Amino acid sequence: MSNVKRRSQFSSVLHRFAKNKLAVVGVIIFFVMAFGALTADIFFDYKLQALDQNAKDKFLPPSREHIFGTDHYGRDLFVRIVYGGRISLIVGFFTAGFGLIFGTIIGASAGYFGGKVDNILMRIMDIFLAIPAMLLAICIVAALGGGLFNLLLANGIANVPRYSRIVRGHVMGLKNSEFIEAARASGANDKRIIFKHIIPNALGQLIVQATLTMAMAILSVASLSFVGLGINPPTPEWGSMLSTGKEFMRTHPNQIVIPGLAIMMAVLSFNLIGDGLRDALDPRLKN
Amino acid sequence: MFKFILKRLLLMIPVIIGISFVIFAIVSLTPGDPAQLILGADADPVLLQAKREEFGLNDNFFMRYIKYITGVFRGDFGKSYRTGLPVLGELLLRLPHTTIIALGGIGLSVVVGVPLGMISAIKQYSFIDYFARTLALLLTAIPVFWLGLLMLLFFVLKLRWFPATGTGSWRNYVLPVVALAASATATQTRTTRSAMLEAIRQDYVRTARAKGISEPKIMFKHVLKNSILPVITIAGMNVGVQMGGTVVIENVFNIPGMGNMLINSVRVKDIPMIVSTIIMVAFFIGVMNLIVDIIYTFVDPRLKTQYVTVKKKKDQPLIPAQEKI
Repeated sequence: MSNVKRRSQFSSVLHRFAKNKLAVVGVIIFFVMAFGALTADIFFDYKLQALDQNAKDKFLPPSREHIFGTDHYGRDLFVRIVYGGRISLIVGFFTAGFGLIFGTIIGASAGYFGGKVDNILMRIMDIFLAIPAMLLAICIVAALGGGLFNLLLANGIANVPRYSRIVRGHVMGLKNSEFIEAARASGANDKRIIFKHIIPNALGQLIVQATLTMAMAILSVASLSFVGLGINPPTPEWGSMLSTGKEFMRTHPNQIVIPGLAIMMAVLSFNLIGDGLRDALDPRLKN
Repeated sequence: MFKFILKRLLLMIPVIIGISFVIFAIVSLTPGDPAQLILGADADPVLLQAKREEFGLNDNFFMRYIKYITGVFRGDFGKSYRTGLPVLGELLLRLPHTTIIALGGIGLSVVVGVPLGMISAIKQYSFIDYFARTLALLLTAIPVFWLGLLMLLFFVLKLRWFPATGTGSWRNYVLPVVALAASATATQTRTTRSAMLEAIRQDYVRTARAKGISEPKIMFKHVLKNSILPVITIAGMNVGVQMGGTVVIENVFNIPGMGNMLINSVRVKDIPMIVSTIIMVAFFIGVMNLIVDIIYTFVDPRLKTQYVTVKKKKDQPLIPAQEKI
């Protein structure tokens, strides 16, 4: 009997992840953001504090009452940042989820059925990949108009090809392996083989990709809102806050510094988590 | 080699047809009437109908697309709905600005990122390594437009080192290029570092050291040469990202490039303008990728075999594997 403590696959990945200090920092930033987004309604009044204009309080410097100061309509910047975080998180999770679901379906069918199906589906994906994600998102927004839902859709669609490539690669690599043959021999149908036997193998890479997608989606929505093609004021979105803030940046630099820092922290947190997960899931780095 | 370039250029045609069809379909088949958007919500119905007729919006979608794409291959990109001017002229007027910023950004990212990544790998775990890695982490997370705004605030409004607007001199392009290069520099640094680290651990490096070759020579002749491929790949992949980034950067610095035009066209659903801009960008990226592939063959002799024509290969059928050794 060996005394070596045995770990399940999951807990050993978790253990390696927790040893990575930067990744843990990423998780902490994420939890702070998520906490703010989930509990904002308990502490603040959305309409009163984040939307209603209050001219006499405009451009207040940071104080105990207004940690980050107020904007040109006298709204508390901190409250708006917290609510903006809610939008960013929704965007991140939705985009990653959309890419995951549709990318998996497309990639799995292309890889599993091969031949004509593969050719048609992957050529379509190639076309989408050939257009820079940002420009594709702009075109979709052009077609559908701005607003949160359309932005989600635009970013989601722009990210599908990446996932379908990952899944297709795994499916192609595994579909002729012996355990798939065994599964088929024991009577499993196509759907079961794809979802129970092949996808779990791609899961690690998909999760890493999903985390990085969240970072990209947050940046992309902020950029689109910044150029006026995304979420419009008065909704507190970080990119559109920067866009209004730039009018006053000369006299009140905090109007652009704070929303920008918020975007950066959010993106940084997902990047750190993604990098940490990649290292933790890489069996070559096991020790 | 010439044949290879020609083949690649010809292969771009189906890609451009595909891209233009997808974008054309996305913009045309969704609700929202360009004529209405241009004339305003309470336009005269007669005028509206005339405008639709002028744009050819009453035709069948496929007919419109075929008319447009056959025009494109004859060099006619249609007329802008918004300005009524030929799209191609407008595009060519704006292309130089965007090209300067995008290529400048890529150039700067290579010039800064590659040496930084090299030093970082050679002196692993040193102060400069930590500095480079932290910098790369921060630069990937910084939104391009925010960095642009901060630089605008600091270098233009506070220090007055650069002009705020206009495109007259090279000084107008310095800040946009630097802002755009930031995230590309980060990926370039990270890729160079990890590729170098992998190469440094190879046996041939130990052999070179054992032979007494000087350290700088080992780094440039043995390590860098073997780790340059991923570095070039990333530079090529950055082209697409840069083209997306120029849209926001042009907006921040008020540069009349293709990105700014795209944003204005999108607001009124100026279909020929939107589709043509995307075609132009896709073509630009395609050409850049081709250049990257050609550079590959110069740095890696193994890849040259790909471009040897079939006829030559047939001359030596017995030992095909040896070419790769």
